[in-house]
Amino acid sequence: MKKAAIINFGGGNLFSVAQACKTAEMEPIITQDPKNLDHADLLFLPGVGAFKNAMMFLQERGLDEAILKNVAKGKLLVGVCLGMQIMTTQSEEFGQTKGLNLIPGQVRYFKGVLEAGAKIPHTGWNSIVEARQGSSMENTVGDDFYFIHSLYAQTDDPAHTIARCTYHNVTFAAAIERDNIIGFQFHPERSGESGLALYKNIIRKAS
Amino acid sequence: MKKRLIARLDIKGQNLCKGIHLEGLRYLGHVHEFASYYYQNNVDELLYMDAVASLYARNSLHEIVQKTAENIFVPLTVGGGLRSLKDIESILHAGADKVAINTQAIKDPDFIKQAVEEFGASTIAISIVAKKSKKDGNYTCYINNGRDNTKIDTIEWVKRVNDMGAGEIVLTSVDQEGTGRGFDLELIEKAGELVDMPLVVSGGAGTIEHIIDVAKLEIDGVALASMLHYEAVEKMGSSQDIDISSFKIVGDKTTSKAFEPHTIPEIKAALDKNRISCRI
Repeated sequence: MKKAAIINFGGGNLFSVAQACKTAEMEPIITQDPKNLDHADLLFLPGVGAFKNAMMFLQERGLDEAILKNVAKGKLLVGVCLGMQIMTTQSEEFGQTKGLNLIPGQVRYFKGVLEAGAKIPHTGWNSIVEARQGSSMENTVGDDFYFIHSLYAQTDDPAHTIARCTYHNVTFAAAIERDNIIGFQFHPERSGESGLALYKNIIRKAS
Repeated sequence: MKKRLIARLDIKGQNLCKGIHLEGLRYLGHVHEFASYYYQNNVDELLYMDAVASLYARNSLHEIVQKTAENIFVPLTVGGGLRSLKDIESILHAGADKVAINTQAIKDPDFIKQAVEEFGASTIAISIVAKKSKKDGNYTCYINNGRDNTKIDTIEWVKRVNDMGAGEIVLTSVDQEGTGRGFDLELIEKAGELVDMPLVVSGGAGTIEHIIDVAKLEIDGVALASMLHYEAVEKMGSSQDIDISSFKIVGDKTTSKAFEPHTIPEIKAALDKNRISCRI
């Protein structure tokens, strides 16, 4: 059974990510200890909270370096929601903050970009409008996933965006991927059977 | 955006219960069985309300939340008796995705600001429980599970809440709650025009027409209770844990056929037919 280290940077949704891992035959361990990342087969960055706090937490504990080191070794890293956003270059949340820069890209507020009348946060079930064949999001066009976020990501290289979603006038990255790094803007562990299917794809990719 | 169909479960201990106007609670059966049934039936979200939290001044749903999070993979909002940042943290760690806060938001609006900073806007929902005055037709806000009138004007409160930076409003009508007579469309329309954040409405669903009527307004989610519970009880009636007789008591206290029992797929199909977008 593959060991999945779920990196606990103080946010919520750790438990639901852990439970979803179990459905995909992974053995989850929730951890704040960089050493545990070395012992895991794959890593999860879950996603609730604020960008700046999350990055500070990772840096204080040396988790950022442990993530980069393990990813460089080829270990699979999966980010969810905020976990996906901190994989990019930077976010404008509460002032510009640098991310892990694993997938070059920018995280921006919906506010000011969305047309009038569009509610923020973007909350609820939305459909994938575009998905790349051969990626982790293959054959998901039309599938609904659960989103809840006030900022959205755009990758510098469009090839790193493997699925897109539209909210009013904005089309944004629903999922990003580069080699052994995958990020989901939505919550696969909160998206019913379609989301659990993605966890099963992940475990296949990790083996 | 797709309209969310949310199963609302009012909980006492480990049991699902249901009252009228949030009062006179009757047991229907184990929460987990109902929640699992709704999940299998494609529910978009679950809303757990601790119906007795204010009596004990605390939320006691941790165990049931943890059990839910083990095998139910849709969002779960939990409300009732959450008074401190620590309370929020502990229910989130049990597996809730969002919390709904009413009493403490009214007592200390600054608390919401702190909670949003600590846990993120998307985690914090404000629960507003409103009742229409028979005298002047204005709405006021209630706390402690609909028992105490704060005399705060609901529409003014909605405006203030909209600026507090929380992620969602859950608006419950005490007058309609548990009656199956339809949503308070006047209240919901007024609130819907004011907010630029997601709005979930609760209280009054008895028929598919009621749901279609409210889904046409500026709302994002519809919470359903008795309508779904009635159907679930019929379907799961053979289970020893479900006490049909107690549900009948609830039913009999309202007009006898207030609730049309429907499954979630039936309701979604009807919404779809009426060109209301939802997750099929």
